[in-house]
Amino acid sequence: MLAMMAGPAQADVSLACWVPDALLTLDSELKRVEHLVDRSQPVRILRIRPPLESPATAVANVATLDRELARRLPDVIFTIIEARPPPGGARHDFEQIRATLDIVDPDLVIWQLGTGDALAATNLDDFADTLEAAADWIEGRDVDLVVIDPPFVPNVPYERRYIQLVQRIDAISLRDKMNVVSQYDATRYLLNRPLPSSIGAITGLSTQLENSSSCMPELMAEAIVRAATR
Amino acid sequence: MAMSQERLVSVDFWRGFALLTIFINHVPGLFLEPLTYRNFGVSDAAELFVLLAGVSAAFAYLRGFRPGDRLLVTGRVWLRAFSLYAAHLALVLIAIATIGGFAVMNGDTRVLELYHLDLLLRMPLEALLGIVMLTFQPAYLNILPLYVVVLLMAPVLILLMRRSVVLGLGASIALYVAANTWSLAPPVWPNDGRWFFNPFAWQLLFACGLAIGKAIDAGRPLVANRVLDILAPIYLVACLGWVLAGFPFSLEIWPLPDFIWSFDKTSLPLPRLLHVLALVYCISRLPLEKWLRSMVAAVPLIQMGRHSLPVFCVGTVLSLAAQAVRPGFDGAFSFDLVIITLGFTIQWLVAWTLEWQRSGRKNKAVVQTPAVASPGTVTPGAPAR
Repeated sequence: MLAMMAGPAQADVSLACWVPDALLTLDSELKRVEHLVDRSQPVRILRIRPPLESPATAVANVATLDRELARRLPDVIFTIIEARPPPGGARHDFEQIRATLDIVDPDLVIWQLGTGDALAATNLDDFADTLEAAADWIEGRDVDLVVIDPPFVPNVPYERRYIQLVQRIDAISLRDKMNVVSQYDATRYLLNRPLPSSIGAITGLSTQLENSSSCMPELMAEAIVRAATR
Repeated sequence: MAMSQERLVSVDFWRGFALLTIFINHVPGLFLEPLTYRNFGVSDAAELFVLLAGVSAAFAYLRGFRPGDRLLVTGRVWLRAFSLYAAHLALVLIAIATIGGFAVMNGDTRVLELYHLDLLLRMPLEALLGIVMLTFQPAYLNILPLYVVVLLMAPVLILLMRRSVVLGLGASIALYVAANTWSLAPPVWPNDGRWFFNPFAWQLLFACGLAIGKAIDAGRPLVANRVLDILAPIYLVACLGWVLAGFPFSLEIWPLPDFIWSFDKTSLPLPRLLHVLALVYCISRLPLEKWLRSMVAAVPLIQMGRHSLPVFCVGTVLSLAAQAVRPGFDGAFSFDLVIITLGFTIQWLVAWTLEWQRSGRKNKAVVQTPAVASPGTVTPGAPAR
C-alpha cells in the first residue's frame, strides 16, 4: 500500500516528518472550517485526547498543532480545546464527545481512536457501529470531523488487533467519505524509512517511535489545511 | 433502609455493588461492561461510591463530632484521609510494576502510555513528585485522590451538618456552584490541566451522603413523599430514554452555565447528580434491608462493601492486570469469564479474610470487656474503620 503512495515532497512538511502525499489527503471537504478560513474567522477545534496519550505528550502535541496551523494560516486564529474521555474505547470517547460538544461548540473535532479498542479487544462490528454513529451525530451538529487511527508499533504479538481496527476505519472512511488521517500508516512509514543523515545519528527504537509519533501534529495540521484550502 | 441501631447491610451491599461495578468498568471490553448501569443512565458507580462514602462517614463521625471531641474526631477523619493517601501511593507503585512488566514483555509502548507511564520515563523526578503531591494521577487511579481531598474537607461539612442539614448542604452547594462557575479545581502537574474528578464539585455528593447518613443515624425515616415517588422514577426513565436515543439534541439552556445541563463527569453536573440521587431514592423505597439480611447470596457483596478500601485497591490492581493481559487472549469470552470469576473471588476473599480477622478481634474484646459495644463502620453512631 505504501509503495503506491509515492509523491512529491511537501514543502510545508519538515524533512523529519515527511510522508507520502496520499497520507495527507482527506477524503472529503471540511466545509465549516473552509468557510471560516475563507473569511479569516477564528476556528475552534475540539481535540479528543486519546486515553492512551500521556499529559506530557498531549501538551506537546497541542502546542505543535497550534503552531503548525498558525504557521500555515497566519490570518486565522485557531483555538484548541481538549477533552479527556474516560479510559476505554470508542464508545467511551463518544460519550465524552456528546458531553462536551455542546459546551465547547467547536467547528472541528479531531478524534484519535482505536488504541483503546485494540487493547480491549472490542468486537469489530461494535466498534464500527460506534464510529459510524458518532460520525453521524457530529455531522448532525454541523461540525467537521477528522479521525486519526492508532500509531504503529513493531513486533507486538497481538498487532493483528490494531491492523483489523485500522482496516475497519479505512473501510468506513471509503464508504462514508469520513476524513481520516492514518497515523498507523504514517508512523509505519516513518519507522521503516532509512533515516537520512541530516536527521541525525542512529537512534534506538523507542526514540524512533517517539519521533514518529511527535510528527503527527504537524501532519495533522498539513492535512487539515490542505482540506480547508483546496 | 431500616432505621435501627443495627448494622445497615444495605449500605454495605450497595458499596460492594459499586466496587464490583467499578472493577468491571475498569476492564474495557469485558462482556459484562455493556450491562453495567452506566449504560442505562447518566451517572455511574463512581457517584454511587462517593455518595455511600458520605453515608458511612456520617455513621462514623457525625454523632461523635460534639463540642470537646471535635479535635479528636477531626484527627480521626484526617488519619483516615492519610490511610487513603498511603493506599493510593501503594496502588500507583503496584500499577507501575504490573503494567510496566506487561509492556516490557510485549514491547507495546501503547500499553505503557495507557497509564501515562511514559511521563515517568521522560520526567522521572517531576512525575514522582506529582504522584506524591497527587497532581499526577495515572489513568484509573484518580478516585482515591478525590476521596482524600473530600475527607480533608469533611470536618467542616460535618460541623455544619451537625448544626443543620440545610446549613451543611447550603455551604456544600455554594462551593459546588463556585467551583463550577469559576472553574476552581486542583491543578495537574507536571503538566497543565485539572483533576479528572474535581473534589470541589464532587464534595456535594459526599455532603448529600452525610445528610442521608444523619437522617438514618437519627432514626428518622428517609425523605419520602408522593412528589418524589413520581418524579424520581420519571427522571430515571427519561435519562434511560435519553441515553438509549444517543443524546439526540443539545440541552443547552442559554444563559445557564453548562454544569446545569451538561454531562461531563469531571464537574459532576446537575443531571449526573440528580441521576444518582434519584436512583438511591428509588432503591431506598424498596424493602431491601430485610431481604438482604436473609439472602446468603448477598453476603459476598456485603463483606466487600464493609472493607471497601482494601477491596478497591485489590480490585484496581486486578483490573489493570486484566487489561494488560486481555489483548493476548483476543477478548475471548472464556478468558473474560476467568477475569470475572477470579476478580470477584479474590476481592471477596480479601473481604472475607478481613471480616474473619475482625470477628476474631471482636470476640476477644467481648470476652475481655463484655460491656463495650462492638464497632462497625456502617452501624449508625459507631466509629469508622
